[in-house]
Amino acid sequence: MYGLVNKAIHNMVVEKFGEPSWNKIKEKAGLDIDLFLSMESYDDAVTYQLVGAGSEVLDIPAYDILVEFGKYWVEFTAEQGYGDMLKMAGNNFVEFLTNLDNMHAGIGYTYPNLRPPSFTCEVIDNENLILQYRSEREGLAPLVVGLLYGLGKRFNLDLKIDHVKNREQCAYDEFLVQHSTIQNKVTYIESINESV
Amino acid sequence: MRVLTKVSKKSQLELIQQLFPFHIGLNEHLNIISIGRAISKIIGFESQFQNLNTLFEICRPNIAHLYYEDLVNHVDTIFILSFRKEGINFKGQFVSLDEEGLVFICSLMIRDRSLLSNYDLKLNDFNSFDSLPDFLFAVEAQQASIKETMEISKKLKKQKEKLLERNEEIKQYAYIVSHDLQTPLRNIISFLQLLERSSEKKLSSNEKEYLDFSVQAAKRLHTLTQDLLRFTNVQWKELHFKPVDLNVLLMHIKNDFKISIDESNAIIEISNLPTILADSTLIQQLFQNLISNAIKYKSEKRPHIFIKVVDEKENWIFSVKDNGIGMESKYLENIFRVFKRLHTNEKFQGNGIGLSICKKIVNLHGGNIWVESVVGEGSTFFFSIKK
Repeated sequence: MYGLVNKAIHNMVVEKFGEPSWNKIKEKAGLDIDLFLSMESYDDAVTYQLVGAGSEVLDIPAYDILVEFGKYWVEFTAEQGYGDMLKMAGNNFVEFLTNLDNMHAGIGYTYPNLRPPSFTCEVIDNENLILQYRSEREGLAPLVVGLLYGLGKRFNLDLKIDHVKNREQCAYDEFLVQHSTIQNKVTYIESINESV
Repeated sequence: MRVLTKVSKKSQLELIQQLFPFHIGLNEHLNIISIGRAISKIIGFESQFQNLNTLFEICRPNIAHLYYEDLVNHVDTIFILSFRKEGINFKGQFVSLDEEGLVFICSLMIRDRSLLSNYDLKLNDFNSFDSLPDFLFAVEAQQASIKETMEISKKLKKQKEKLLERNEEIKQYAYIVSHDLQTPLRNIISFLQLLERSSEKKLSSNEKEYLDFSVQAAKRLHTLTQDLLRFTNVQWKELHFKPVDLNVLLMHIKNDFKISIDESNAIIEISNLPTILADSTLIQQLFQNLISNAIKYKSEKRPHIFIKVVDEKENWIFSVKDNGIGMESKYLENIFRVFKRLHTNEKFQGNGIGLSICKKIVNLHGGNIWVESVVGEGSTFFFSIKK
């Protein structure tokens, strides 16, 4: 995976839990890396080790860490100078998800070693859609859940996400997403804060 | 100029509408009859029926005005047209529709992705073989990478400043320890020796022994502070590189060592040595330390020291070989570390600073130092110096 992902994990941990927690996670993961370079390719194991160690050190399930990371990723990439790319993907939630696969296909032009995930979006009606997610990497479906919540926040939407199929059943993950203009806080954020 | 054939004019335009979000359809008077959905976000649908020359300025090829006949004659020519109102360039080719009309099929020529958001252009406004969005993302990623590099560079600069500050503190500390301790130590030694002489008859043999221990200990401490001072001097010495004829330098060193050479009955053989670019004071200190060690750690055999050099492309590899007591291989790795000693002070006097000074000197000249040794047969110290 490219360093930008690991850099985002680093920033998220430092922002939410402080530098000492990050140092403990790094030590637990057995990583002797001071900083991650965004455009440098790193072994996938580094990312998995960071998530595993983060789960142990912070005493948070790995699933929740990935969801939180997915949410963080949307804001992080915008802050890191990729804001125009996000704007170009869409002005609204549905348009963004429709363009998500185009975006990942195009990123390969810049990151030649990238093995990006693939997304297809099927609009059911004004408030419901189905997102299919395919990746050669295992265990990252919670990250997609977080990404959807992050996009919900970006477009000021209240989301209800059902993980209706998983890759063990049919080689891909499928999410049924209900989206409506925000009225209440996303319930997931509240439960994460409680567990932290 | 490409020609679309075997499709009706209406179908041709419909096909183009679907395939090319950036296109402008023209009649034989170069009036606009069709506009692609993406390009319309920039030039507006109201541009319909206006003349191409009114709306656009020709940048490439270098012609003043567009005429229908000219375009028909420009086979495979790339045109760059600038939208007069916004100054935005479009790059593309004219395609003939069965000679009853023309289509300008193009793409945007921009480097700044933010312009896209000004016109609300999205990824799906570009067809799959238009690499502009990918190119713009690459530019954006590179800009982000440059920003990241600059941030890292700033952090490194701050760390360097901190390290320099810390280095200065250590330098001061080392100077105080090694320099300022010398005067009181000299006084302690002198007064202890005075006391030893003045009270020689009054002291018991045990008391004399205690006093002698004190004098010896103070002398060792004095030597240690002197060596430390030498070490710190090498560490922070301002280097003065100039050509040094090592044959001359080694001749002087041999003269300096005359007494200890005579006392130990040592033989020093020196091969023809080169002139190197170096700090002569430090190089002299380096050879002095290595020769001094070779004599000091002699075995029962008559000391025989060979000094040689090998020309190895970018470096000179020097060697100082002796037939002394040698060292066990397990010690070889650490002997260049400061205060690392293999022998007790009773057997061989010293502080374990000499070889660390040698290492420092060699490193300052961009080289490395290492040793090969066999117990009972002797040691060979090698060091490289960049040419």
